[in-house]
Amino acid sequence: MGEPHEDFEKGPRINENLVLWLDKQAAGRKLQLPVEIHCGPLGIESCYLRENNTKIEIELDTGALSIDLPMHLKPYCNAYPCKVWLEGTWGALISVSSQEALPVFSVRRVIGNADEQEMNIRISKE
Amino acid sequence: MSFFSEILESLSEAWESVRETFTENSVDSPVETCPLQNNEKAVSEKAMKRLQAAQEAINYTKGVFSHGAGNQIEALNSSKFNSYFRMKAARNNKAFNIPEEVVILAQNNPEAFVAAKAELSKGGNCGEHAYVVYDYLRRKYPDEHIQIAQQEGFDHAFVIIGDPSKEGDNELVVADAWPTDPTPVLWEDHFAYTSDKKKLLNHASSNGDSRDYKQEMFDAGLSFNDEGTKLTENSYDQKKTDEEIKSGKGKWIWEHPDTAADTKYDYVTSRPLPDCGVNE
Repeated sequence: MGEPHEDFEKGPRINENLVLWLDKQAAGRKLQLPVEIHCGPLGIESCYLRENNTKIEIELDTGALSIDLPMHLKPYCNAYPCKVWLEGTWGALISVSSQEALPVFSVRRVIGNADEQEMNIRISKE
Repeated sequence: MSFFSEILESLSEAWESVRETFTENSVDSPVETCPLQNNEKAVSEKAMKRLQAAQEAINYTKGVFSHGAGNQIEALNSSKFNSYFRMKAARNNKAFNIPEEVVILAQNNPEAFVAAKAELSKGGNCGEHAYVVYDYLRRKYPDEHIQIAQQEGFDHAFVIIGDPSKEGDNELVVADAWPTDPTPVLWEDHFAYTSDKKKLLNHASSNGDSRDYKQEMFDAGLSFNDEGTKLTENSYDQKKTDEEIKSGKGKWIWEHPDTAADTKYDYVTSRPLPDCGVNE
Protein backbone atom coordinates (compact mmCIF):
# COMPACT_ATOMS: atom_id res chain seq x y z
CA MET A 1 0.00 0.00 0.00
CA GLY A 2 2.86 2.40 0.67
CA GLU A 3 4.45 2.06 -2.78
CA PRO A 4 4.60 5.22 -4.90
CA HIS A 5 1.88 5.54 -7.49
CA GLU A 6 2.98 5.96 -11.10
CA ASP A 7 1.49 9.45 -11.11
CA PHE A 8 3.92 10.53 -8.40
CA GLU A 9 7.66 11.13 -8.40
CA LYS A 10 10.24 11.50 -5.69
CA GLY A 11 10.13 15.01 -4.28
CA PRO A 12 12.42 16.94 -1.96
CA ARG A 13 13.92 15.48 1.19
CA ILE A 14 12.44 16.40 4.54
CA ASN A 15 14.58 19.19 5.99
CA GLU A 16 14.19 22.61 7.57
CA ASN A 17 13.55 24.21 4.15
CA LEU A 18 10.72 21.89 3.15
CA VAL A 19 7.83 24.04 4.38
CA LEU A 20 9.16 27.05 2.49
CA TRP A 21 9.56 24.89 -0.64
CA LEU A 22 6.02 23.55 -0.33
CA ASP A 23 4.60 27.04 0.22
CA LYS A 24 6.24 28.19 -3.03
CA GLN A 25 6.16 25.09 -5.24
CA ALA A 26 3.31 22.82 -4.24
CA ALA A 27 0.25 24.94 -4.97
CA GLY A 28 -2.39 22.90 -6.78
CA ARG A 29 -0.30 19.73 -6.90
CA LYS A 30 -1.15 16.46 -5.23
CA LEU A 31 1.38 15.33 -2.66
CA GLN A 32 2.11 12.20 -0.71
CA LEU A 33 3.74 12.81 2.65
CA PRO A 34 5.16 10.28 5.14
CA VAL A 35 3.50 11.58 8.29
CA GLU A 36 4.25 10.42 11.81
CA ILE A 37 1.02 10.52 13.79
CA HIS A 38 0.91 10.75 17.58
CA CYS A 39 -2.20 9.93 19.58
CA GLY A 40 -3.38 10.93 23.04
CA PRO A 41 -6.25 9.52 25.11
CA LEU A 42 -8.86 11.18 22.89
CA GLY A 43 -7.37 10.70 19.44
CA ILE A 44 -4.78 12.34 17.18
CA GLU A 45 -2.75 14.94 19.07
CA SER A 46 0.14 15.87 16.80
CA CYS A 47 1.63 15.05 13.40
CA TYR A 48 5.20 15.38 12.13
CA LEU A 49 7.37 15.15 9.08
CA ARG A 50 10.60 13.69 10.44
CA GLU A 51 14.09 13.05 9.13
CA ASN A 52 16.84 12.31 11.65
CA ASN A 53 17.17 15.61 13.55
CA THR A 54 14.54 17.47 11.55
CA LYS A 55 11.05 17.34 13.01
CA ILE A 56 8.39 19.53 11.40
CA GLU A 57 5.03 19.67 13.13
CA ILE A 58 2.11 20.01 10.72
CA GLU A 59 -1.63 20.22 11.11
CA LEU A 60 -3.83 17.80 9.17
CA ASP A 61 -7.00 19.26 7.68
CA THR A 62 -9.47 16.36 7.34
CA GLY A 63 -12.39 18.38 5.98
CA ALA A 64 -12.17 16.65 2.59
CA LEU A 65 -12.64 13.23 4.16
CA SER A 66 -16.19 11.95 4.49
CA ILE A 67 -14.99 9.65 7.26
CA ASP A 68 -12.64 11.27 9.77
CA LEU A 69 -8.97 10.28 9.69
CA PRO A 70 -8.90 7.99 12.78
CA MET A 71 -11.33 5.60 11.04
CA HIS A 72 -9.16 5.54 7.91
CA LEU A 73 -6.08 4.81 10.01
CA LYS A 74 -7.56 1.75 11.74
CA PRO A 75 -6.31 -0.81 9.18
CA TYR A 76 -2.77 0.60 9.35
CA CYS A 77 -2.15 1.78 12.89
CA ASN A 78 -2.34 -0.71 15.74
CA ALA A 79 -0.04 1.40 17.87
CA TYR A 80 1.13 4.99 17.94
CA PRO A 81 3.23 6.84 16.89
CA CYS A 82 2.27 5.49 13.49
CA LYS A 83 3.87 6.55 10.22
CA VAL A 84 1.66 6.55 7.14
CA TRP A 85 1.67 7.92 3.63
CA LEU A 86 -1.07 10.51 3.29
CA GLU A 87 -2.17 11.93 -0.03
CA GLY A 88 -3.53 15.45 -0.30
CA THR A 89 -2.71 19.05 -1.04
CA TRP A 90 -0.58 21.61 0.75
CA GLY A 91 -2.55 24.24 2.64
CA ALA A 92 -6.01 24.31 4.18
CA LEU A 93 -8.89 22.79 2.22
CA ILE A 94 -10.66 26.12 2.02
CA SER A 95 -9.17 29.51 2.60
CA VAL A 96 -9.68 30.97 6.05
CA SER A 97 -9.10 34.51 7.15
CA SER A 98 -7.14 33.70 10.29
CA GLN A 99 -3.48 32.71 10.11
CA GLU A 100 -2.90 29.02 10.87
CA ALA A 101 -0.46 28.38 13.73
CA LEU A 102 1.09 25.35 11.99
CA PRO A 103 1.68 24.46 8.33
CA VAL A 104 -1.46 22.68 7.09
CA PHE A 105 -1.77 19.60 4.88
CA SER A 106 -5.23 18.78 3.59
CA VAL A 107 -5.69 15.01 3.53
CA ARG A 108 -7.61 13.29 0.72
CA ARG A 109 -6.74 9.66 1.45
CA VAL A 110 -4.54 7.28 3.38
CA ILE A 111 -2.17 5.36 1.10
CA GLY A 112 -0.65 2.93 3.61
CA ASN A 113 2.13 2.47 6.10
CA ALA A 114 5.40 4.34 5.57
CA ASP A 115 8.83 2.97 6.41
CA GLU A 116 10.84 4.68 9.09
CA GLN A 117 13.51 5.35 6.45
CA GLU A 118 11.21 7.39 4.21
CA MET A 119 12.96 10.76 4.00
CA ASN A 120 11.47 12.23 0.82
CA ILE A 121 8.02 13.42 -0.01
CA ARG A 122 6.31 12.45 -3.27
CA ILE A 123 4.87 14.95 -5.66
CA SER A 124 2.44 14.47 -8.55
CA LYS A 125 3.94 14.58 -12.02
CA GLU A 126 3.06 17.74 -13.90
CA MET B 1 -50.34 -51.28 31.49
CA SER B 2 -53.72 -52.60 30.33
CA PHE B 3 -54.55 -53.69 26.81
CA PHE B 4 -56.82 -50.69 26.32
CA SER B 5 -54.17 -48.29 27.60
CA GLU B 6 -51.67 -49.66 25.07
CA ILE B 7 -54.20 -49.27 22.25
CA LEU B 8 -54.92 -45.69 23.33
CA GLU B 9 -51.21 -44.82 23.51
CA SER B 10 -50.58 -46.29 20.03
CA LEU B 11 -53.48 -44.33 18.60
CA SER B 12 -52.26 -41.18 20.28
CA GLU B 13 -48.73 -41.57 18.84
CA ALA B 14 -50.14 -42.28 15.37
CA TRP B 15 -52.32 -39.21 15.53
CA GLU B 16 -49.40 -37.05 16.67
CA SER B 17 -47.35 -38.32 13.74
CA VAL B 18 -50.14 -37.54 11.27
CA ARG B 19 -50.58 -34.05 12.82
CA GLU B 20 -46.87 -33.24 12.61
CA THR B 21 -46.69 -34.35 8.99
CA PHE B 22 -49.71 -32.27 8.14
CA THR B 23 -48.29 -29.19 9.93
CA GLU B 24 -44.87 -29.50 8.25
CA ASN B 25 -46.47 -29.82 4.84
CA SER B 26 -48.58 -26.77 5.56
CA VAL B 27 -45.49 -24.70 6.35
CA ASP B 28 -43.51 -25.97 3.39
CA SER B 29 -46.22 -25.70 0.84
CA PRO B 30 -46.00 -22.48 -1.17
CA VAL B 31 -48.55 -19.89 -0.18
CA GLU B 32 -49.73 -17.65 -2.97
CA THR B 33 -48.97 -14.05 -2.10
CA CYS B 34 -50.22 -10.74 -3.41
CA PRO B 35 -48.50 -9.51 -6.58
CA LEU B 36 -45.97 -6.71 -6.06
CA GLN B 37 -46.89 -3.28 -7.38
CA ASN B 38 -44.56 -0.84 -9.16
CA ASN B 39 -41.39 -0.46 -7.02
CA GLU B 40 -42.51 -2.78 -4.24
CA LYS B 41 -40.03 -5.33 -2.93
CA ALA B 42 -41.02 -8.11 -0.53
CA VAL B 43 -39.03 -8.39 2.68
CA SER B 44 -39.28 -10.56 5.78
CA GLU B 45 -41.03 -9.42 8.96
CA LYS B 46 -37.62 -9.12 10.62
CA ALA B 47 -36.24 -6.91 7.85
CA MET B 48 -39.38 -4.77 7.95
CA LYS B 49 -38.94 -4.15 11.69
CA ARG B 50 -35.34 -3.19 11.05
CA LEU B 51 -36.38 -0.82 8.25
CA GLN B 52 -38.72 0.88 10.71
CA ALA B 53 -35.94 1.15 13.31
CA ALA B 54 -33.63 2.61 10.64
CA GLN B 55 -36.25 5.20 9.72
CA GLU B 56 -36.49 6.23 13.39
CA ALA B 57 -32.72 6.61 13.62
CA ILE B 58 -32.57 8.60 10.37
CA ASN B 59 -35.28 10.97 11.62
CA TYR B 60 -33.43 11.44 14.90
CA THR B 61 -30.11 12.05 13.17
CA LYS B 62 -31.51 14.50 10.63
CA GLY B 63 -32.87 16.43 13.61
CA VAL B 64 -29.39 16.54 15.15
CA PHE B 65 -27.69 17.70 11.94
CA SER B 66 -30.24 20.40 11.34
CA HIS B 67 -27.79 22.49 9.27
CA GLY B 68 -27.02 19.53 6.98
CA ALA B 69 -23.78 17.72 6.23
CA GLY B 70 -20.44 19.50 5.94
CA ASN B 71 -19.83 18.19 2.43
CA GLN B 72 -23.20 18.25 0.66
CA ILE B 73 -23.94 21.04 -1.82
CA GLU B 74 -27.49 21.53 -0.61
CA ALA B 75 -26.42 22.11 3.00
CA LEU B 76 -23.35 24.20 2.16
CA ASN B 77 -25.47 26.42 -0.04
CA SER B 78 -28.37 26.87 2.37
CA SER B 79 -26.12 27.39 5.41
CA LYS B 80 -23.50 29.49 3.53
CA PHE B 81 -20.86 26.96 4.52
CA ASN B 82 -21.86 27.00 8.19
CA SER B 83 -22.42 23.22 7.97
CA TYR B 84 -18.74 22.86 6.96
CA PHE B 85 -17.50 24.85 9.96
CA ARG B 86 -19.75 22.85 12.26
CA MET B 87 -18.20 19.64 10.90
CA LYS B 88 -14.74 21.12 11.56
CA ALA B 89 -15.80 21.88 15.14
CA ALA B 90 -17.08 18.34 15.68
CA ARG B 91 -13.68 16.93 14.65
CA ASN B 92 -11.61 19.29 16.78
CA ASN B 93 -11.13 18.30 20.43
CA LYS B 94 -9.68 21.77 21.08
CA ALA B 95 -13.17 23.19 20.46
CA PHE B 96 -14.54 21.52 23.61
CA ASN B 97 -14.33 21.68 27.37
CA ILE B 98 -13.42 18.09 28.26
CA PRO B 99 -13.28 17.45 32.01
CA GLU B 100 -11.31 14.47 33.31
CA GLU B 101 -14.49 12.46 33.92
CA VAL B 102 -15.38 12.87 30.24
CA VAL B 103 -11.89 11.77 29.20
CA ILE B 104 -12.40 8.49 31.06
CA LEU B 105 -15.88 7.99 29.61
CA ALA B 106 -14.60 8.81 26.12
CA GLN B 107 -11.66 6.42 26.34
CA ASN B 108 -14.04 3.59 27.20
CA ASN B 109 -16.77 4.67 24.79
CA PRO B 110 -15.11 6.37 21.80
CA GLU B 111 -18.20 6.01 19.57
CA ALA B 112 -20.40 7.86 22.07
CA PHE B 113 -17.72 10.58 22.33
CA VAL B 114 -17.80 11.20 18.55
CA ALA B 115 -21.61 11.23 18.64
CA ALA B 116 -21.65 13.64 21.59
CA LYS B 117 -19.30 16.12 19.87
CA ALA B 118 -21.35 15.91 16.68
CA GLU B 119 -24.56 16.55 18.60
CA LEU B 120 -23.11 19.60 20.32
CA SER B 121 -21.79 21.06 17.06
CA LYS B 122 -24.74 19.85 14.96
CA GLY B 123 -22.14 19.17 12.29
CA GLY B 124 -20.41 16.35 10.48
CA ASN B 125 -19.89 14.40 7.31
CA CYS B 126 -21.01 10.82 6.78
CA GLY B 127 -18.75 9.50 9.56
CA GLU B 128 -20.32 11.68 12.23
CA HIS B 129 -23.80 10.89 10.89
CA ALA B 130 -23.00 7.18 11.25
CA TYR B 131 -21.84 7.59 14.86
CA VAL B 132 -25.03 9.42 15.84
CA VAL B 133 -27.20 6.78 14.12
CA TYR B 134 -25.19 4.02 15.80
CA ASP B 135 -25.49 5.58 19.25
CA TYR B 136 -29.26 5.94 18.83
CA LEU B 137 -29.84 2.37 17.61
CA ARG B 138 -27.46 0.82 20.15
CA ARG B 139 -29.42 2.39 23.00
CA LYS B 140 -32.89 1.91 21.53
CA TYR B 141 -32.46 -1.63 20.17
CA PRO B 142 -29.99 -3.42 22.47
CA ASP B 143 -31.16 -6.84 21.27
CA GLU B 144 -30.13 -6.08 17.70
CA HIS B 145 -26.60 -6.31 16.30
CA ILE B 146 -25.73 -2.75 15.26
CA GLN B 147 -22.53 -2.02 13.33
CA ILE B 148 -20.73 1.02 11.94
CA ALA B 149 -19.64 -0.17 8.53
CA GLN B 150 -17.66 0.91 5.50
CA GLN B 151 -16.82 -0.73 2.22
CA GLU B 152 -13.03 -1.06 2.04
CA GLY B 153 -11.55 1.68 -0.11
CA PHE B 154 -14.80 3.67 -0.21
CA ASP B 155 -14.78 6.90 1.85
CA HIS B 156 -18.27 6.43 3.24
CA ALA B 157 -19.58 5.15 6.58
CA PHE B 158 -23.07 3.97 7.49
CA VAL B 159 -24.81 1.72 10.00
CA ILE B 160 -26.00 -1.83 9.45
CA ILE B 161 -28.76 -3.39 11.55
CA GLY B 162 -28.20 -7.14 11.71
CA ASP B 163 -25.09 -9.28 11.77
CA PRO B 164 -23.35 -9.51 8.37
CA SER B 165 -21.35 -12.54 9.54
CA LYS B 166 -24.51 -14.54 10.25
CA GLU B 167 -27.35 -13.17 8.13
CA GLY B 168 -28.17 -12.80 4.45
CA ASP B 169 -27.86 -9.46 2.69
CA ASN B 170 -31.66 -9.32 2.29
CA GLU B 171 -32.11 -9.39 6.09
CA LEU B 172 -29.55 -6.66 6.80
CA VAL B 173 -30.78 -3.08 6.83
CA VAL B 174 -28.75 0.11 6.34
CA ALA B 175 -29.48 3.25 8.34
CA ASP B 176 -27.58 5.97 6.49
CA ALA B 177 -28.62 9.52 7.36
CA TRP B 178 -25.98 11.35 5.28
CA PRO B 179 -27.80 11.62 1.91
CA THR B 180 -30.03 14.68 1.66
CA ASP B 181 -33.16 12.55 1.11
CA PRO B 182 -32.30 9.36 2.98
CA THR B 183 -34.48 6.28 3.19
CA PRO B 184 -33.84 3.02 5.02
CA VAL B 185 -32.74 0.30 2.60
CA LEU B 186 -31.72 -3.33 2.58
CA TRP B 187 -27.94 -3.69 2.54
CA GLU B 188 -28.18 -5.30 -0.90
CA ASP B 189 -29.87 -2.11 -2.19
CA HIS B 190 -27.46 0.44 -0.67
CA PHE B 191 -25.20 2.52 -2.92
CA ALA B 192 -22.06 1.23 -1.18
CA TYR B 193 -23.13 -2.43 -1.40
CA THR B 194 -20.62 -5.19 -1.94
CA SER B 195 -21.41 -8.90 -1.89
CA ASP B 196 -17.86 -9.55 -0.68
CA LYS B 197 -18.18 -9.67 3.11
CA LYS B 198 -14.40 -9.39 3.46
CA LYS B 199 -14.61 -5.87 2.05
CA LEU B 200 -17.22 -4.82 4.60
CA LEU B 201 -15.25 -3.15 7.39
CA ASN B 202 -16.57 -3.12 10.93
CA HIS B 203 -15.63 0.06 12.81
CA ALA B 204 -17.73 -0.69 15.88
CA SER B 205 -20.48 -3.11 16.84
CA SER B 206 -22.94 -3.21 19.71
CA ASN B 207 -22.90 -5.73 22.53
CA GLY B 208 -26.31 -5.26 24.13
CA ASP B 209 -25.21 -2.29 26.25
CA SER B 210 -27.91 0.38 26.13
CA ARG B 211 -26.35 2.81 28.63
CA ASP B 212 -26.45 6.45 27.54
CA TYR B 213 -22.75 7.37 27.70
CA LYS B 214 -23.32 10.41 25.49
CA GLN B 215 -25.71 11.93 28.04
CA GLU B 216 -23.29 11.02 30.83
CA MET B 217 -20.61 13.00 28.99
CA PHE B 218 -22.92 16.02 28.73
CA ASP B 219 -23.78 15.68 32.42
CA ALA B 220 -20.06 15.50 33.27
CA GLY B 221 -19.43 18.81 31.53
CA LEU B 222 -18.62 18.11 27.86
CA SER B 223 -19.44 21.41 26.19
CA PHE B 224 -18.17 23.94 23.68
CA ASN B 225 -15.45 26.35 24.69
CA ASP B 226 -15.02 29.79 23.09
CA GLU B 227 -13.10 28.38 20.12
CA GLY B 228 -15.89 25.88 19.43
CA THR B 229 -18.61 28.47 19.72
CA LYS B 230 -16.71 30.77 17.36
CA LEU B 231 -16.27 27.96 14.81
CA THR B 232 -19.99 27.19 14.72
CA GLU B 233 -20.81 30.84 14.09
CA ASN B 234 -18.65 30.99 10.93
CA SER B 235 -20.22 31.33 7.51
CA TYR B 236 -19.51 32.89 4.10
CA ASP B 237 -21.37 35.32 1.91
CA GLN B 238 -23.13 33.96 -1.19
CA LYS B 239 -20.28 34.87 -3.56
CA LYS B 240 -17.66 33.01 -1.50
CA THR B 241 -20.09 30.11 -1.00
CA ASP B 242 -20.58 29.77 -4.76
CA GLU B 243 -16.82 29.95 -5.40
CA GLU B 244 -15.97 27.25 -2.85
CA ILE B 245 -18.74 24.93 -4.02
CA LYS B 246 -17.57 25.30 -7.61
CA SER B 247 -13.99 24.60 -6.58
CA GLY B 248 -14.77 21.56 -4.41
CA LYS B 249 -17.64 19.92 -6.31
CA GLY B 250 -16.82 16.35 -7.25
CA LYS B 251 -13.58 16.48 -5.26
CA TRP B 252 -14.90 16.64 -1.72
CA ILE B 253 -18.30 18.30 -2.07
CA TRP B 254 -21.15 16.03 -3.14
CA GLU B 255 -24.70 16.19 -4.41
CA HIS B 256 -26.01 12.93 -3.06
CA PRO B 257 -29.74 12.69 -2.32
CA ASP B 258 -30.40 8.93 -2.30
CA THR B 259 -29.44 6.00 -0.10
CA ALA B 260 -30.51 3.43 -2.66
CA ALA B 261 -28.05 2.41 -5.36
CA ASP B 262 -30.60 2.33 -8.13
CA THR B 263 -34.27 1.60 -7.57
CA LYS B 264 -35.83 3.26 -4.54
CA TYR B 265 -37.99 0.35 -3.36
CA ASP B 266 -41.20 0.45 -1.41
CA TYR B 267 -40.55 -2.42 0.96
CA VAL B 268 -43.52 -4.62 1.85
CA THR B 269 -43.96 -7.82 3.78
CA SER B 270 -45.47 -10.68 1.80
CA ARG B 271 -49.24 -10.96 2.21
CA PRO B 272 -51.14 -14.14 1.44
CA LEU B 273 -53.98 -13.96 -1.06
CA PRO B 274 -56.68 -12.71 -0.97
CA ASP B 275 -55.72 -10.09 1.65
CA CYS B 276 -54.23 -7.63 -0.84
CA GLY B 277 -55.40 -4.31 0.54
CA VAL B 278 -53.09 -1.45 1.45
CA ASN B 279 -49.89 -2.80 2.98
CA GLU B 280 -49.23 -1.58 6.52
